[in-house]
Amino acid sequence: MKNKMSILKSLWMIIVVFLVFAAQGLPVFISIPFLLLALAAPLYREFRPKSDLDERQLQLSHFSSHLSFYAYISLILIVMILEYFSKRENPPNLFYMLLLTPLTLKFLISIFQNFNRIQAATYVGLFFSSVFLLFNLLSHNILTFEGIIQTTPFILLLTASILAKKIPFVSGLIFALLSLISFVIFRSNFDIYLKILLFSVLSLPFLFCSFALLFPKKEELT
Amino acid sequence: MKNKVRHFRFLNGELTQQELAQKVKVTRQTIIAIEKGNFNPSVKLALKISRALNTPLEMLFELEEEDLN
Repeated sequence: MKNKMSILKSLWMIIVVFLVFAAQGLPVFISIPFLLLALAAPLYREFRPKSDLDERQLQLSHFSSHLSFYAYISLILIVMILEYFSKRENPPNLFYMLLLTPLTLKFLISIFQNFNRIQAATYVGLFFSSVFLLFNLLSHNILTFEGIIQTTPFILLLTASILAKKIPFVSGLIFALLSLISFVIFRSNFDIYLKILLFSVLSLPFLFCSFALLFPKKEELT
Repeated sequence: MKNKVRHFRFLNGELTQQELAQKVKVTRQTIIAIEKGNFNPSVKLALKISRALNTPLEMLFELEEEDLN
C-alpha cells in the first residue's frame, strides 16, 4: 500500500509535463498558478512532519535529488560555454541566474542545517562579505571617494560577521538593514534575471544571517 | 554491518518480510535491503525491529571489522 501511494504521488512529474503542454494555450494568470501548485506538491511532501516515505525511501529520494541537481548545474555550464563560443560574448544574465541561484540556496541550506544559527550566520556572513569585498577591491580604486563608498557596506558586513558571536542582535540588525537596502537598490534599473540573481547572492544570504542572529535559540546565547 | 534479521524473523513464527515491514512501519523493500546488508537502519528503526522480533539489538546487528576503521 505504501509503495502504491508513493508511486501515485510520484506521478506529479507527469502532471507537471502535462500542465506545461496544456498551459501553452492558456492565459498566463491561469497556467502559472497551476504549475506552481504542481510544483508545491513535492515541497509539501518534503516538509510535512509525517512523511509517507520510510527512511530508506527518503534517503534514496535525497540521493537522486542530489545527483539530479549536479546534472542540472553541469547542463547549465555546458550551455553557457556553448553560448559563449557561438556568440563570442558573455552569456545572458538568465544563465548566471539559473546557475548561481540554486548553488547559493544549496550552500545556505547546508550551512544552516549543519551549524547552530549564530555559527552559521557567522560563516555565511564572513564568506559572502569577504567575496564581495575582494571583488570590490579588485574592481574599484579604493583610494577614490567612489571606491570608498562602494567598499564601506562590505567592510561593515565583514565587521558584523566577525562580531556576530559577541553581539548577535546588533550584527543581525546590520545584516537586516543592508539586506533591505540592497533589495531596494536592485528593485529597479536591472532586468528581471539580474534582479533575481542579485537578490539571491547578495540580499538573501544576509537576510538568512539577520534572521539567525535576531532570533537565535536560547541555548546559543549562553 | 552484519545482521541476523532474517534468522530471527524465521525464529519469530516465520514472520514474512511484509509482516515485519508492517510491524515496524517501513516498506518490504526496506526490510529486503536491510537483510541483504544494502541499507543500515537508523537507531530508531533498528530498535523497532529489535522489539518486533523480541531480540536484543546486539544480537541482531553486528559491526564488522571495516566499520571500526
